[in-house]
Amino acid sequence: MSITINLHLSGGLRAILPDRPECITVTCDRPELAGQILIEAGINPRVIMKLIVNGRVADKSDIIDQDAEIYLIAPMAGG
Amino acid sequence: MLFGYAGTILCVDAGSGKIDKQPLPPSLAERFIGGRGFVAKLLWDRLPPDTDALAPENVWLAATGPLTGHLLPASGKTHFGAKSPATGGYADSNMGGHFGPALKYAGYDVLMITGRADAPSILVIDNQSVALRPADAWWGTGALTCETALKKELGEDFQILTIGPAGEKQVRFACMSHDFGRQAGRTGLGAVLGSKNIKAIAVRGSGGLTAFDLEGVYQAGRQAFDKVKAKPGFAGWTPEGTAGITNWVNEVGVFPTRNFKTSYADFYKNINGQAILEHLKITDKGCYCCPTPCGKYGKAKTVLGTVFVEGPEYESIALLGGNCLLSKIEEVAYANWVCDELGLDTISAGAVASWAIECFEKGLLSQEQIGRDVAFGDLAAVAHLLEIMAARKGIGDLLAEGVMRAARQIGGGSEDFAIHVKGLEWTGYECRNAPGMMLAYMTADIGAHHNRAWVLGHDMAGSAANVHDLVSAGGSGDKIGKATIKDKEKPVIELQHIRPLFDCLGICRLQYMELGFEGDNYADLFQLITGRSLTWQNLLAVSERVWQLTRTFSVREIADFGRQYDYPPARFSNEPVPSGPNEGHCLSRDELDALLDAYYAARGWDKNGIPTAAALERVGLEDISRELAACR
Amino acid sequence: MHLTAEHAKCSGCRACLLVCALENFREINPARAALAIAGHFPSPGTFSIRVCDQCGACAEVCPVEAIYLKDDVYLIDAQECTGCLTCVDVCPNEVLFPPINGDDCPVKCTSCGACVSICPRDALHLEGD
Repeated sequence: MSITINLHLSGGLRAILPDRPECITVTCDRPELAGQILIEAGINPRVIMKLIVNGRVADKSDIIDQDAEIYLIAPMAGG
Repeated sequence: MLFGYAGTILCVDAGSGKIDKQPLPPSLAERFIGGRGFVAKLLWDRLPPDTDALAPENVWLAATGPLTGHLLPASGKTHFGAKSPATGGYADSNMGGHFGPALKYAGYDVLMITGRADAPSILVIDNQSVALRPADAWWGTGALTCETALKKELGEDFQILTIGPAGEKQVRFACMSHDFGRQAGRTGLGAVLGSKNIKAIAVRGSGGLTAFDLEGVYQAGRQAFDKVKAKPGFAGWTPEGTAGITNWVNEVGVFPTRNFKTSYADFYKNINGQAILEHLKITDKGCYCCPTPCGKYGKAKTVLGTVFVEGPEYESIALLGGNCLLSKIEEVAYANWVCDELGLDTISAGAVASWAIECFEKGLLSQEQIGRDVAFGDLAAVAHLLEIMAARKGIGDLLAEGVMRAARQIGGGSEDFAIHVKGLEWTGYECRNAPGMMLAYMTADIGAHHNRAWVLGHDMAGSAANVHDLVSAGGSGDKIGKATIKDKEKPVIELQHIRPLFDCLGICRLQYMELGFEGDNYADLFQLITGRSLTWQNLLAVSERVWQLTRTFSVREIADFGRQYDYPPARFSNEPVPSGPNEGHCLSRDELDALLDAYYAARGWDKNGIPTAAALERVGLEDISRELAACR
Repeated sequence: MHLTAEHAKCSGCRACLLVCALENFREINPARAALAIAGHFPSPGTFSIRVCDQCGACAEVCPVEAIYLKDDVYLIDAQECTGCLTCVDVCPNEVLFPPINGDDCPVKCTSCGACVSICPRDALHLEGD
C-alpha cells in the first residue's frame, strides 16, 4: 500500500515557515494520523489550525487512508 | 484627476452646522494612499494642540481607500479615527459592512466632523445634500434599535452608523455600529461621536466611481473573484468565520480566562464555531463584495431573553466567554447582543467586566457598590455590569473610564490585573508564553490590540526544540516548552506594515492573510483603478510611513509618552500561568525589555521608543520630524 | 432565460449589483443595477434577492410598446421609451428601476448572467424556459 499526500501550505503558514516550499509531498505505507503526517513533513502541528483534506474540513486527529491533497491553514486573528 | 477616489473631503462642523466640501489633495493620496493613511495625516494636520479627546475640538474621521467600493473581493471597509478617549494618543478602528462604499458613491473619500452640536443630532448625507437633523426621537435608544428606526424612516438604501447609550454617555470604550452587527469597536470612537452630540450618520450614495482603466478593472476584478474562489481554503474559511480559531487557541493555551489569570477553558467546545453553527446560526452575513462572508447572524435563547445577533466573533468569545467564564454559546451571544445594543466594544467591555469581577472576589469592590453580587460564569452579573457601565450608573461611572483609570482609583493592587496597554484593554490572546505576540500587543499603536501584527503562529513554531518533541494530535493539556524571545521583532514589524496596508487601501485583508490571494493582485488592481504603478513593496513602504506617523502622533499628544507606555500589566510578569498547556510560563521584565530594545532598534527609535529624525526621514516624513521638533 | 434566486444562500455582499452596472453600463455604481438585495434585520435575519423573472408584465402595460421580447428576454427599446415609468410601477418583483443621471429609460434586467458568474454564494441561476 502506498498513500501519496500533497501538503499545500497557505500564505499565512508560509509567512511563519518561510523556508518551506508551497507544496510538500509525503508518502505513507499505511493509514496515518494527519498530525503525524505533519510531523514527518517537518511541520509543527501546533502551527496548523485547520486542514482541508480533499476539499473537506478535517482535524489533526483524523486518519488519512487514501491519496490526499491537504491544504494547511495557519491560525489567524479573530475579529 | 484622482482616478478611483471620490475626490472630496466632506467637513462638517457640528457646532455651527457648516458643511465644507474640500478637494482631496493629490499629495495626500500620493503620500498616504487612503483610509488609515488619511486618518493619520489629517489628524496630525487638523487636531488643535492640547485637545481633550472628548472636547468639541477633537477631529472625528471616517475614511475610505482608493479600492473601496470597486469590483474586487471585500472592498467594503471604512477606517475611523480621532484622538483616543482610551489612551490620549492615536486612535483608529476599522469596520466592515457597506458604509464606506456608500460614502464614496455619495462623492466623498473622507468625512470629518469637528465641533459639538447644540442638541442631539443625526447627520444625513444624501449624495450631495448634507444636513444635521434633530435626533430627539432616537437619543437614548439602542444602537440596533436606532438603525432599525432610521432604515424605516429614511429608506433601506441608506447605510447607517449609530452609537448606543454608551456613546451618548461618552463611555471610553463606546463603539460605533452598522448593518445590524458590524462595529468599529476599539478605542472609544463612539464616545467621540457622543461628545459631539451625534447619534447617527446616514449615507445614501447613488453616484459612480471613476477608474483609470475601466475595462481593465472590470476584467481584473472579475478574475480576482475567480482566483479567490479557486483557492483551496475558500470553502473551509466561511462556515465558522473567526470563531473557527477557538479550538486552536485552547489547544495551545492562549485563550484568556478569568481576567487573563488562566489561558484555557475546559468548556471551549461549547463556545466555539461549531457551537454557533449548531445552536445559533441563521445566515452567513457578509460585507460589500466579500466572497467569504465571516459574519454569522443568528438567534440566541437564554433565560434572560431571546435575541438576534451577528456573532459572536472570536474576540467576543474570548473576552465575554473565556474571560467572564460564560460557558454556553447562547450566553456569549446574549452578552454580545447587550454590548451591541448599548454600543459597547465587546473586547473592552468584557475586559472591564472581568476586572470588576476579580475586584469583587478580592474585596476591592463591594456588592453595595456594584448593585449585586457578581461572579465569573454568571450571565446576569455580566449583563448587569455591562448595563451600569453603559449608563455610568453608580460604580459604572468609574468602570466606564476603562480598566486603567478605574484601577488607579480603586488601587489595592488592582492595577496589576488591569489588563491593558496604554489604557486600551487587551484582546483575545493570553501571551505569557507568546513573546512575539506580547511584543505585538506592547507596540500596537492604539494600545493593546492584536490586529496589527498577529504572530502567534511564529510563537508556536518557536516553542519546541524540535518538531519530534511534539504530541502528534496537538491535544490540550500537553505542556508547551518556553517560546524563544529571539528575533521576534522581525515578524512583528513586517506584519505591522502588511496588515494595516489593507486599512489604507480600504479593503479587507482576509483573502490575502487567510486564503493566500497574492499581494501583486492588489498592486495590479491599484494600478488599474488609480493609474499609479506601485508594486506591493512600494505599497508596504507607504504603510511603514503611516506606522511611524501614528507613533509620532502619540509622542506629540502625550507629554511623557515613551517606553513606559509600552509595558504590559504586572500580571504577565509576576504570575506564571497557573495551569493549562502553558503552565509555569511568564515573561520577566528583563525579557520584555529585551523585546522592546530589539524592536526599537529595528524601528530606528531611541531607547525610550521615540522615533528619531533619521527614522522619520527614512520613510519620507521630514515635515513631520520638523513639526514634532518645533512643538517639543 | 431568466434569473432565479436561492435567498438562503445570499450573504448580502451585493457584488451582483456592482457587476450588473459594470456589465450593462460600464459604470462603477450599484445604484444602476437591475436586481436588488433586501436585508431583513434584526428579525428574521435573512436576505432576499429580487430578480427579473421575465414575466412580461412590463411589456403588457407599456403604452408605446417599447418593451419587446427577444429570445425569451424582455428588453426596453431606449429609442421608443418615453420615460412614463408605468412599467416601474407595475413590475411585481419591483426590479424595474427608475432612470438616474438624466436618462429616460428605466433599468431592466437583460438576463446577461454577469451576476450569476460573480456570485460567490451560488445564489443566482439562469434558467431556460
